[in-house]
Amino acid sequence: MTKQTPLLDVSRMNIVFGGLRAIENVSVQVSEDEFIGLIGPNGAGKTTFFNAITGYVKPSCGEILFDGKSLARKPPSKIANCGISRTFQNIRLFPKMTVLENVSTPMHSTPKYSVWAAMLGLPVVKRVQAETDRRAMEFLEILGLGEHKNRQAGTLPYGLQRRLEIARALAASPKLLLLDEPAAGMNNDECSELIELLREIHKMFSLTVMMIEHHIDIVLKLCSRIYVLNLGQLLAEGTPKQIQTDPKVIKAYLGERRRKA
Amino acid sequence: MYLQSLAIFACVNMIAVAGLVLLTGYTGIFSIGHAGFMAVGAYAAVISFKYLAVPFLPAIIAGGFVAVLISVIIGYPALRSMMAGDAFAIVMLGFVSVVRISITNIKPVFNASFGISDIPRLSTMSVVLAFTILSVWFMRNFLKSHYGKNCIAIQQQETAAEMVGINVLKTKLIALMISAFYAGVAGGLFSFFATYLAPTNFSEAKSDDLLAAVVLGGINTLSGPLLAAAILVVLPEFLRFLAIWRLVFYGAAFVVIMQFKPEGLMGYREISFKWVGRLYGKVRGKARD
Ligand SMILES: Nc1ncnc2c1ncn2[C@@H]1O[C@H](COP(=O)(O)OP(=O)(O)O)[C@@H](O)[C@H]1O
Ligand SMILES: [Mg+2]
Repeated sequence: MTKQTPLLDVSRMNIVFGGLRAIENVSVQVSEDEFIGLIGPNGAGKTTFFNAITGYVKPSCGEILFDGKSLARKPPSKIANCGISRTFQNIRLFPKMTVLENVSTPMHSTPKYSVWAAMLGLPVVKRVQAETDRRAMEFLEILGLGEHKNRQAGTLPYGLQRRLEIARALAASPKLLLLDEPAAGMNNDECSELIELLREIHKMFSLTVMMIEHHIDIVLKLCSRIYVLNLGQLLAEGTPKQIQTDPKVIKAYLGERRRKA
Repeated sequence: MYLQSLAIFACVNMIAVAGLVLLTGYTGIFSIGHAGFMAVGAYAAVISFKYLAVPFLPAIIAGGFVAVLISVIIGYPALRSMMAGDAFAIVMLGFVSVVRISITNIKPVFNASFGISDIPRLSTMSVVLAFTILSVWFMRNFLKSHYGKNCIAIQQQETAAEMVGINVLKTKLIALMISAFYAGVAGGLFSFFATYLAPTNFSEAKSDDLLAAVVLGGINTLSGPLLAAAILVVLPEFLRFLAIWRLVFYGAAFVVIMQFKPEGLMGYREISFKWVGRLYGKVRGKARD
């Protein structure tokens, strides 16, 4: 089912924090256009896996190839500019900036004019600003945030903040979108809205998506393939059907949930 | 003459504070030793004027550039090692002391602790005013541009700023270099007005003055700190006791600000006169009730 060269190719990655092996020998391949789920109990190492891909933590060994190129030694900003964008489990917006300004940030992370032009206030500054605002507005409309454009991001209700994070990640025009628990803290209505939204943007932007999510129904509805992590190790990989019936998964993950319930 | 010298001091202070607004108020990097850059700029300007026969205006600009050079030498390793913000502040605190002590001990050219005297008074009111207006205008443009927005992003959420593709180290360095240039120019202008330059002119206390203007004036605003910069020069002149108790006043003011208004008096706003209209509306509304 995977093509010749996967978009993201992680091979035998290990991450150690002090004495804790947060990720052990994990290999993951994601092909273009796939919608991949990454599930596992709390503390399994899912967020750490994202942090490694986006350059916030350095793997102690293993290789991460994106589009055939190694991401080792690249700082997070460079990796972002390579086409990997993400949302955070604990929301990280720019709280005092407006909604529109938040979505604009990826578009001007490398300003299109020099420092001198900025200081002199040359006409190009205004022109680029207007163009950026216009494009940012498009993303806000798609995500249904248009009416909130002038609100301070920090004052938005929780569900909209999550949405804004997705909008900001999309505004970077990524090839690979990493979503870290996008439905956390959402109620059932919001969850079904989110499913529709994610399905739509996956198609509209012909994105490759990898999603960490605890709402298992969302994962089953959206993902064509699922990886299961447990205690830093890859427990299983397969289609939603395979995962649902995998005895190891049921024992480690689904079983645990059933016990809780 | 007295009022004019007060105005010149206020302007010089405003130039240095405008630079610090970018570094501290926008990018969120605390610099406890910014007066060190004023000292570097001042000595560089005066020495190139007196010993290298550089004309006045180019000498002032040269002072600014030497301050930039020093800021990179100190700032690059400090910012690069991803030290926590506090560590950078401490590096800067060490930096002013190093500058002051070095100058105090260099006899040739710097004339050690005696300082350099007989500097012609070339910083006239009009020159200083022109520099102030230009610096403020350049800074305002810069802060409003995408560069300024990137600085705010770093200050508010550094992790996310990196994620959206902002080169954090480069952006911080640009902020540091520009603010060092402003401090250097301010130091040069000051010396050519005071006509006398000594290591004690730009001590740690001067750094406190600059930081106080930014903290009191507010973050993410230029006009707030500029107003504070002017007030902090003028006020102690009229209230003499304030001059003696200045550091105590800063300490108390900082505590109050941090407690009740951590974004500063004018945080996230520029000074405008819309509030006059709002107040008018309120008064009328009250009158109707
Ligand atoms: N920066 C870090 N330093 C030390 N330990 C960490 C760090 N990040 C994560 N961990 C640890 O790694 C393990 C995996 O964490 P995480 O990836 O957040 O799990 P998940 O997202 O699957 O819930 C946890 O035990 C966590 O405490
Ligand atoms: Mg997590």
